[in-house]
Amino acid sequence: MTLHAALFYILATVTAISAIGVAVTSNIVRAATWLLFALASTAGIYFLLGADFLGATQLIVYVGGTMILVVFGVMLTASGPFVNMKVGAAEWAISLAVGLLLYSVLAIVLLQIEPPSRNIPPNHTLLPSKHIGAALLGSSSSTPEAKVTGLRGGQFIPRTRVSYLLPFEIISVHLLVVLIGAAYLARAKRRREDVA
Amino acid sequence: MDFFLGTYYPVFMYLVVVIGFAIAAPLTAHLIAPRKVTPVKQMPYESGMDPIGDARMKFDVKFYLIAILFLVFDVELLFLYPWAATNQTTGSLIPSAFKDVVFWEIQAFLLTVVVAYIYAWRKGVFKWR
Repeated sequence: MTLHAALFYILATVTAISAIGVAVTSNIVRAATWLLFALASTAGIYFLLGADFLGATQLIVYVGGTMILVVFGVMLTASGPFVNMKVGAAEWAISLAVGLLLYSVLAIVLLQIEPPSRNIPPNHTLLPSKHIGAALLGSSSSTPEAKVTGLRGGQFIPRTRVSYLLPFEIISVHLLVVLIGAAYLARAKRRREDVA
Repeated sequence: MDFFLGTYYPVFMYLVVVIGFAIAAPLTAHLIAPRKVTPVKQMPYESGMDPIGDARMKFDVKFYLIAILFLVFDVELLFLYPWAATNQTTGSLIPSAFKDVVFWEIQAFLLTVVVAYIYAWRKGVFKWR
């Protein structure tokens, strides 16, 4: 077993155990902690696949952001010191059925595609974050012409060189909207307090 | 595969040190520390003050606004990361004639958030009321 495979198995085991922990535990803070480990080791798998920007996104948005919101949500709303979520037998049955359904969809999709080792040409490269960065800044010449793999019969769909400067700047305007929205909500709250 | 394990050696070393310290520090304290239990030592530590009330309580909803503000700048940081990875590389990734344009693009990106920051500041979002 190569080191690469060993790392994959370690990360996959941590992800699976943590995901089971999220579902099994009845304490919401423990569920959040299990979720933290599940999301972080998923990020590790992304890094292992060479998708470092995706891994960083997973760490910053999910492990950093979503977890903060979950923990803050618990802190702000918890009525007692230990919030336990009682799960009934019917809820277990429904969630088990939904989970198995999702798993079967994923398994069917996975069986449909061919293993990538047969398809990927030796010079195939994934997009490292520096290329994504160059593309975000409008330098389209840096984007490698990556190909879509995993199709039946080893087909390739060539991807044209693109740049993402406009989406990049739209994102910053989007963040501006979010901040102004938060500021507006805070101001509306103060006005109501003034009236009262 | 674009995954070079060598790139991540510092991360692995860091993880080993962190996990090792997390295990070794309580273990060493458990093994060699003297134990004389007194009622004062059994109290929760609150910077030398006598603790008031329960540690587990409902927090003010104002903290949620702080969380949302954190998320905005968190996502902002996410989009600075690929730029930071690009900026330090040499070669033909970004043509040299393009460097100044890239600098001003990033300034424009940051400026839109600074505008929102000043707006929120003027509206008193950062005041603790």
